Amino acid sequence: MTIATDWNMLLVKGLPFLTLLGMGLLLLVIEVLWWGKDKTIMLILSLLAVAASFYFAWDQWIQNIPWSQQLLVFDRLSYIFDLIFLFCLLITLLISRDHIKREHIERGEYYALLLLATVGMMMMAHAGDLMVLFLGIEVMTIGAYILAGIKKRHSKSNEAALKYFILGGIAAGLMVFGIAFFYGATGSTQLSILNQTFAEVDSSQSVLIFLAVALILVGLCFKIAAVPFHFWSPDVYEGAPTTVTAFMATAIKAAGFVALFRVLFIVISLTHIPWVPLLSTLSIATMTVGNLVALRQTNIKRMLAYSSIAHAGYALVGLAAAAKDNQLSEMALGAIVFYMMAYAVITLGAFAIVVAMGHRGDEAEEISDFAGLGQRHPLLAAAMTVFMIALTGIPPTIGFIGKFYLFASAIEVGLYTLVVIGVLNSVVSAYYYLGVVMTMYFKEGAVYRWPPLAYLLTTSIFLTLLGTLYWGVFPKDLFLMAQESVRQVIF
Amino acid sequence: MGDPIFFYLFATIVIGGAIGVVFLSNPLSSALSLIFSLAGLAGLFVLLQAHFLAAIQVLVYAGAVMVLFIFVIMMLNLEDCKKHLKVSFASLIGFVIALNLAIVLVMHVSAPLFDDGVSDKTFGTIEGVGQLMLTRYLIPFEIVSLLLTIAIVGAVILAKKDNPKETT
Amino acid sequence: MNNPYLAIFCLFLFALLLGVGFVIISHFIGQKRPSTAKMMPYECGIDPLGAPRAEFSVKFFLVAMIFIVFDVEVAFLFPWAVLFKGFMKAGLGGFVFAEMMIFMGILLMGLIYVYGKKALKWE
Repeated sequence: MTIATDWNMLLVKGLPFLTLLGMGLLLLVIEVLWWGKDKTIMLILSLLAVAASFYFAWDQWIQNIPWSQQLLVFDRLSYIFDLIFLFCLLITLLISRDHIKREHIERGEYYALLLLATVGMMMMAHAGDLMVLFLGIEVMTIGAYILAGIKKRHSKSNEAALKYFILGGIAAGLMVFGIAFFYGATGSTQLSILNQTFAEVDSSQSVLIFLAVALILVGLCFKIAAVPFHFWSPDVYEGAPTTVTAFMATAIKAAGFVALFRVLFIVISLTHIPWVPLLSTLSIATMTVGNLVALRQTNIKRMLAYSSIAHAGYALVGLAAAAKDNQLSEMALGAIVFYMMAYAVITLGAFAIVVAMGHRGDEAEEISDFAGLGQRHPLLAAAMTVFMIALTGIPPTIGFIGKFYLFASAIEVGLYTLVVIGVLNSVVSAYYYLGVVMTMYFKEGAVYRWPPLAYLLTTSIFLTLLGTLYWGVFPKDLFLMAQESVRQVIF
Repeated sequence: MGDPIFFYLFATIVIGGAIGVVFLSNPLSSALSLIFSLAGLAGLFVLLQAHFLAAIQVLVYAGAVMVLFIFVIMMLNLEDCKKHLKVSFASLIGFVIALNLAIVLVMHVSAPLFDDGVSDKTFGTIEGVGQLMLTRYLIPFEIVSLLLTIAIVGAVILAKKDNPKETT
Repeated sequence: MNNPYLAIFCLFLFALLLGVGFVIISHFIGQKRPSTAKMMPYECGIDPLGAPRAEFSVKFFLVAMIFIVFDVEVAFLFPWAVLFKGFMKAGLGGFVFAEMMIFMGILLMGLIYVYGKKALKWE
């Protein structure tokens, strides 16, 4: 058997994840060989790797030469998601330093695991075979399990890791089951081959394929925390270190969506599955449950967890719109990609502020801890206000633009009910998002000594704030980029 | 492998073992029951001509992984737990869905079971698996090494006692 | 009866019979005269307090987990070792060798990490 692959090509195309992989492994070695106690070098090296990887991915996105190696595919869709993951990783690294120092979890493995988990996500984005997709998911989630439980002395962190691990294990098991059914029905796990064989599927196999699709969807819905597969997420988000939560809420969610894309591109052509009703129901359940339960939360991390469930629901509106007529429409997909970027920018900003609020021994995770922030630290309060109105979807922020494109794409294909429910949900969500703003400005708070904002934290808040407002006013370039990314998708 | 009797034999062992895991009250008995189930699975792999997989199944799962299970049971020093069958709404829904899945599987997937459907005789042997793994599925193969490395890191982070000097 | 699995089946059967047989035989032949003193774990000394099973240290667990990971690695080495000659003849020896070196290289980082963390040291 010969091996027909252009290895040089693979090396060049794969540079974004190879860089991170190399640096992640190097960090593990440095962690045990480095004599000093100061871990700043780890942060610097990680940031360097992110910068290099970002450059390579950007370069490839610009060049736009789609190439498939059967198991890995390299197109603009995968590179744009690489860029999203890298942005999430960058902000997570920036907000990490102070947080992990005061939580006593500053160890080299923290950085290494973040980098290696990102490699797993990139594998998902580049997956041309269900096997690669599955292994990517496992690399990502095993890294995330460990990161969620890295605060070993905190029972909540342990609980988070254990819950995430057990439920994640079940979801992974279901997904492998689904992949096995695919293999049983068609004799292949490669997406491009599946795409061809679906045309000649006879009726005896259609049940198998139906089961396979259902099981794989369950596995992926678990990753994006869609209702009813969301039960893990509030506890895990609350128990994990805040920086890790920020990473999970943004990067892992985006990774779940790109995996959904990769699978849906293939299975969408199956006419015996009612895609639009299926995805619409999922979307309505996810938005509504997420928003309604978020109303009752007093812990800011739990509130953001339910809010992230709700936002997955909004993105699923786009997916339902995209699935019309058994082919994925470009406009709706572009809207989802844009929404993923918007959501990542805003949520990372909100989490950065949660991190900035805490200090040693008191992580300020209750919403009531924000009381009086308007007087104590007007700038921080103003930034939080921007993030909250962006999450609600009020102009002139990127959150509004993202929702606008999503709902517009749904109206385009006539899913009016879905849009109405989505808008109603946004109105409900205003109550708890603006509740945080009210607490900051109209409630008297205990006198806290606000921690000095370390420069890395300031940078990350500034970056996300800039993104939220700039792209809220001038969304055209970013939106065109998202649209371009879904134009030429290969398997 | 034409003889369905072996299939039924091994399938009974697998399912019986699995039922034992759930219903036995002593955790150690549950673990031993799981070993039976996994060994039966290895038998099923043999029937499918997947000898390599069967050997790995016995070595890694029935052997090494079960050692871990038993370590954990001993570490936690579990007492016998009383199984109380409580019928809640959620468990009822779960049961209905599981039953539904079972019915669908039995109705539609039973036909090809006794036909191994493999034309290539090396499929499943150590040569067949290796050939595919080292050529076509080279990239997943390399990702596995990354996965294993992350698993090592996780084991060390979560299970190793911190050096008291380091946690200042 | 030329089934190649017959030998394995016989082996299993024999092992089972042997194991179960000895237990049954000792049950019937052996003499049993239990008394209170005999049933106690120690015949002299302080009466035992609490559960007889002592808690297990997590250290065993760590070693076992690291063992499993490298056990799995070895499982991946088998097919490689078996097929290596064939690949050499096909002129792919260097390539397949490099492949395994990358695989082991990545895991070597893990091994260095384990050593450096002194996870294999019994304190």
